[in-house]
Amino acid sequence: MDTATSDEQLVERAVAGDADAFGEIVRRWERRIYALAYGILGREEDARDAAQETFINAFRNLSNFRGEAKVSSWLHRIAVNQCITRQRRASVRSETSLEYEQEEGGQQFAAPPASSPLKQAEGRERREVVRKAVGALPPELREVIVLKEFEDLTFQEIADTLQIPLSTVKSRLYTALKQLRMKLEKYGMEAARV
Amino acid sequence: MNKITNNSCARGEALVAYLYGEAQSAQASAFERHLENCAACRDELTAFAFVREGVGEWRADLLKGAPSLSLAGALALPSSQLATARPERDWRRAFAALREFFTLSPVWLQAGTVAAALVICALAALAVVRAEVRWDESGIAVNTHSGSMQQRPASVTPIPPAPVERIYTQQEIEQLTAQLSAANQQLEETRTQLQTAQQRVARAERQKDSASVIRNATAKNEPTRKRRAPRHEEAQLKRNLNTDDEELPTLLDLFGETD
Repeated sequence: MDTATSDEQLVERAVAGDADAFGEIVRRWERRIYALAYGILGREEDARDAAQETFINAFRNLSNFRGEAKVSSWLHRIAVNQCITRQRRASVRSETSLEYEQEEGGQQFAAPPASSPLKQAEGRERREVVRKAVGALPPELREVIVLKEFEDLTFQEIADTLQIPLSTVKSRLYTALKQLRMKLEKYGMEAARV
Repeated sequence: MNKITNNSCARGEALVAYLYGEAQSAQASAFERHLENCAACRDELTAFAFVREGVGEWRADLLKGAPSLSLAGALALPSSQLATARPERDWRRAFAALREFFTLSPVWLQAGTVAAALVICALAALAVVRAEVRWDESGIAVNTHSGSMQQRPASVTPIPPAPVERIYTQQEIEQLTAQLSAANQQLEETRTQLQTAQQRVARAERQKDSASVIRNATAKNEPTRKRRAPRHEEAQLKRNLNTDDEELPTLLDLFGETD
């Protein structure tokens, strides 16, 4: 499939019956949707399931895509809804998903290839601290910080995706950053002590 | 949650907008002027930038390690088939649904369910521990010690008894051997009698032929007169033939009555 083909064109082809076109959309976005889901849910298995459900729901609702928004925003909205649904189930159980992953050892991250073993260890430790800190955020704060930092959505796009006011997006972002700073300092991140 | 607190100058929204580059130019300029005189906002802005850097590193590694969802094949199916292409196994979904139902249930229902499950498990365990299973020729018998022994026919097809090879005693073997020898001997005698009878028949045939030759010769010498053999010749011929009267035809039978 031609990489110059836009997502919107691929959707048009998929609606016309070209199954390979939607397969190309999956290949383009599956990693980012998975990362988004993992950032919100904090557990590999849940993230994989949420990402799969996202694409399946998108495929089923291809005919409903009007082209008013970007395909990426459309997929993000579906993915976030999937994650929110799963979070609510988890909150009923009074459990946060990231705590599960923490008990199981967490996701193993790939180390930068050109760094020394010491820097690799430091980087690994730092990423683990960040992962725990994000996982310890309340779900509503985790959603906005992940949508902003992972997907670089604008405040307005986040507001549309989560269906909350624009000012709420800003306030939640500020609160999330503030809590993350405190948690990183608590975990001994020296660079955060500016 | 929506209220931004703990900022001494209460410029949280402006700080966030400036941090992410979404502040309008006038607002950005105003905030930069504020930063020159506000150490708390400068400190917070630097700390937030560091937090963002850490989250960005985490995201980058997450993208590197993100697995392929292997959905391309499933999504290539027609939508009617896709409806059945579930990403999770059925048993996992069933278990998740059960777990969700259980967690969403009120406490009294959870307690009741647990109690009922425990009672069922206890009864089952008790039945298993006290059960006595016996399998004999009449079938399978299960005794749970809750009443009398209950018998039910075996559910499996009864195996027919294997053919047992009879074991003969030495005496029986000797008797059978003697019977076999007697039977062989009788068979041999019968065969001998048969051969004897065949020889006699063959001899009688030859004599018949000889008598025919003699009669023809006599007829040539005495063409107008029929001649009867004397009785002593007939007796002599019988002796030569060495045959019994009952078994062989008489000469009269062979030659016919002569007047």
